[in-house]
Amino acid sequence: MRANEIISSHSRSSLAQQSPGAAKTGFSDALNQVVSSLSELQASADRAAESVAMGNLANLHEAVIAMQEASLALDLVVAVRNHVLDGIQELLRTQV
Amino acid sequence: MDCFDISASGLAAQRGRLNVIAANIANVETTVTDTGGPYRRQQVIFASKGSNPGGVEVVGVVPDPREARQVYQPGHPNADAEGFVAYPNVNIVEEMVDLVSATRSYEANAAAFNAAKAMAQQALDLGRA
Amino acid sequence: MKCNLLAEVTSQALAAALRGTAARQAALANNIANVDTPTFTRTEVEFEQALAGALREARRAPSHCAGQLRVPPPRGHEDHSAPRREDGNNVSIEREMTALARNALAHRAASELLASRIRMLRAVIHGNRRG
Repeated sequence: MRANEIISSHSRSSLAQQSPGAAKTGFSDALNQVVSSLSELQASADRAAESVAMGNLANLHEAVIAMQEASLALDLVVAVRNHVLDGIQELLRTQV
Repeated sequence: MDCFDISASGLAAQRGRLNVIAANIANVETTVTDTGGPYRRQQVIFASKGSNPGGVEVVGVVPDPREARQVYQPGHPNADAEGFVAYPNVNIVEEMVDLVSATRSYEANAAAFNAAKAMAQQALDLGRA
Repeated sequence: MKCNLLAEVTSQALAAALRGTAARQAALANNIANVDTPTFTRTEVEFEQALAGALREARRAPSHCAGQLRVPPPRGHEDHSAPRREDGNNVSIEREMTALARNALAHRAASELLASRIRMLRAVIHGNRRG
């Protein structure tokens, strides 16, 4: 799954948040997709980095790109996590 | 002995060699020296230093054993009985080739030094955000 | 949670590459310094094969957090295969210079990739919040 697909699925799910019932499934679907593709991206970044460590410099650009993709996906997951936490804290504050 | 010391020893050794080559070129026509006789071509002897890798050092500057050049010049103040003057056994072409080689070796050592410096810098950058 | 954050296999492999290329730099610098030393034999450092072997071994026995990567330290040895000149020296400046450039690139590549990984870990720890 490519980085731009992750981002577009994320924005689709934020629109779905306007109706609370449907929001829950849309959001968790998107989150699951992002998390599973993240571990896939990290695994291929790992392979590419190990290849460079073993002296295969011909595909150095692949390793750098894969590392950046994994890093972006990670940033996205972390951002989503932060939004979720902020949302929960917001909810807890209003339920006084 | 770290990478910097190794390359520094290479730079110093090649610089010493360049000095000797310069002296040879400057004295190519010197027919009389303090020790009598024409200037003799000098050459440097390199040897590896200590524990490997230890770099290099100049262990001696020795004269070239080849015979002096005899040139027929009866009118010259230093001419011998047959009218021959002994000139230094320095061949300019040979010295120029040696000069180019010494310069290249010097530059190679400088490149090695810069590579070591860049690596050290990258090690420091590992921790940067 | 016992695992050291940088102990996982890929980071260990990159660290091993850094050690190997640093050791190779010393050998190349020594070869270059001794390019005009009579009877000198060039030396070489090998670590890629050992690293590849260690990686294969680590993949065969997968464990989650701190997969063990047992990499032997980089080994230097004399290279007698290069042709010798009249004075017995077998160092070729061109060969050493190209090896130097390639090695510097390999070192920089491993260094940048490792730095990226460290940044990623830091992003997770701090939740990407600044200040």
